[in-house]
Amino acid sequence: MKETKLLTRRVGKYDPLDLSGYKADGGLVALKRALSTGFESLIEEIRRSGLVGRGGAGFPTGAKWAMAAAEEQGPKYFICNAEEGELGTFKDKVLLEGDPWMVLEGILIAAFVIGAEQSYIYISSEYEKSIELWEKLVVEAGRAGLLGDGILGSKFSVDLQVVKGKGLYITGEEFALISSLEARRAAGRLKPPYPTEKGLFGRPTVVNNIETIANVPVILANGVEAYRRFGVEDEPGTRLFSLSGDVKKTGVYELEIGSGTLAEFINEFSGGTANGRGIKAVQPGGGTSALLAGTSLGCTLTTQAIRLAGSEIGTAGVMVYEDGRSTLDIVRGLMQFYGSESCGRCAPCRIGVVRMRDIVERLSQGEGTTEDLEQLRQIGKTCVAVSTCGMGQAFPIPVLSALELFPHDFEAAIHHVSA
Amino acid sequence: MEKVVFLLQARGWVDIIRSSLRSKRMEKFRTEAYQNLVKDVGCVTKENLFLFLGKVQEAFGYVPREVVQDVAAKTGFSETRIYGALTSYRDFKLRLEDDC
Repeated sequence: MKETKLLTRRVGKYDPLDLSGYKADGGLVALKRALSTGFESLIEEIRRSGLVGRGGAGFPTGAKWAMAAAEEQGPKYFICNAEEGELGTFKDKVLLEGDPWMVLEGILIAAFVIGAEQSYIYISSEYEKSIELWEKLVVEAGRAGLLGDGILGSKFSVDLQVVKGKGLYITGEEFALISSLEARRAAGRLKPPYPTEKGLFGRPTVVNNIETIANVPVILANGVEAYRRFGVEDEPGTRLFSLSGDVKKTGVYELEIGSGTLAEFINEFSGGTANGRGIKAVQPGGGTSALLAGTSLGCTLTTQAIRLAGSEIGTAGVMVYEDGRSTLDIVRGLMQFYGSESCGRCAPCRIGVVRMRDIVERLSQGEGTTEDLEQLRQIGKTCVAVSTCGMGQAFPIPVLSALELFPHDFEAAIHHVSA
Repeated sequence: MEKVVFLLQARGWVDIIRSSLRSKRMEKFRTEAYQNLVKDVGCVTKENLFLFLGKVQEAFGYVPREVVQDVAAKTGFSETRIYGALTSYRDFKLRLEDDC
């Protein structure tokens, strides 16, 4: 199993602020082509490429762009989402600092296709270095005629604003992100209407993850057929996998989709588990994905296969837990994080996340009862079913999967007390 | 004895005057810094309010009450509306010593 460098090809190859270095390595070819092509045929190309969103939900990018492009009334907005708050996921930083011009090129193409006149890049406040770099980059791009009026001598004009995140997990959700730009409290909203209809300031808005955007110049520069040669038929391309947890070596690796199994990936790149024990469980798609038992890691790295195995590929943040880790510790760590991140807008998540955190806390202190387990299940299922946004629907999943995979660990925690 | 007490008192007064001078200077410095931030964005509107307040937070380490009053007048939002949003974010602080 080997890395396939499609998006990370130029990472570390040129000085991030040096546009000529990027140009020399095949940069801006896609943008020049895009500006001389109609937006309909560009949407068609992205659609044929089979590109889906890399932020977790996996919505087809071409369809999203088509919806925004079809809206006739401007102004429209484009937002690149690099507010990476998900546990175990740190791929955005690689693109932000490793190949920022490619991201910028992607943003410009997307803004051109949907007809946006203002674009934003929303960067997590933890990535201070990236924010600094991007602020300089915007000035540099303006000087090179890549931002502002008449980009590269065409009629197309767009501006880019670098926005520093506000330190909340929920702002990674598209509506919460939009709310925070509108000077409201960050909260999810009921959909529809989708942001492509009524987004930022009530105008059509496209929010794309930074990894999705990085794919765009690659597709347009090399052509759809060349792009589809990577990955599998239903899911072309590559993905950036973040590897962390109880492993010797953590990092971000770009792999062709479906090029191997989860077990192969962990064995190949992790350098073994931290203490050399076996693997107890793995979360393949960030903190909100279901746990997979260490014995069932034979699924290939595609959305479909991982779903069949009982989890989600989500943000492709692979977190490894080795044997000897207590199940309750794992669950408690996750719930402590999500427990203070609900925006409070809808009741199931607002109340559920705190109740679940408290129950898990009680269980791990050895003060839980049998009813607690039943309650944990019920609250979790309710949140998944009726929460407004992705966070409420997702945070109970690892807890529910742990209850299913390791029921004895939970029961032992209870019997331990009564004995 | 009385002399000593007087000296101590005088010293106290000097301290108070000194610190008030310092805070006046501080005040002037801050007002100037704030006006520069306003100049940078050109015009504070509903659309760029949070971008602007983010800059204030960065410059001062918190968002002073006076700033909220000022931007409320500039944008037409009520102070309550702005505080309602501000307080929901972890990275906005309302006092220098706040850590949550």
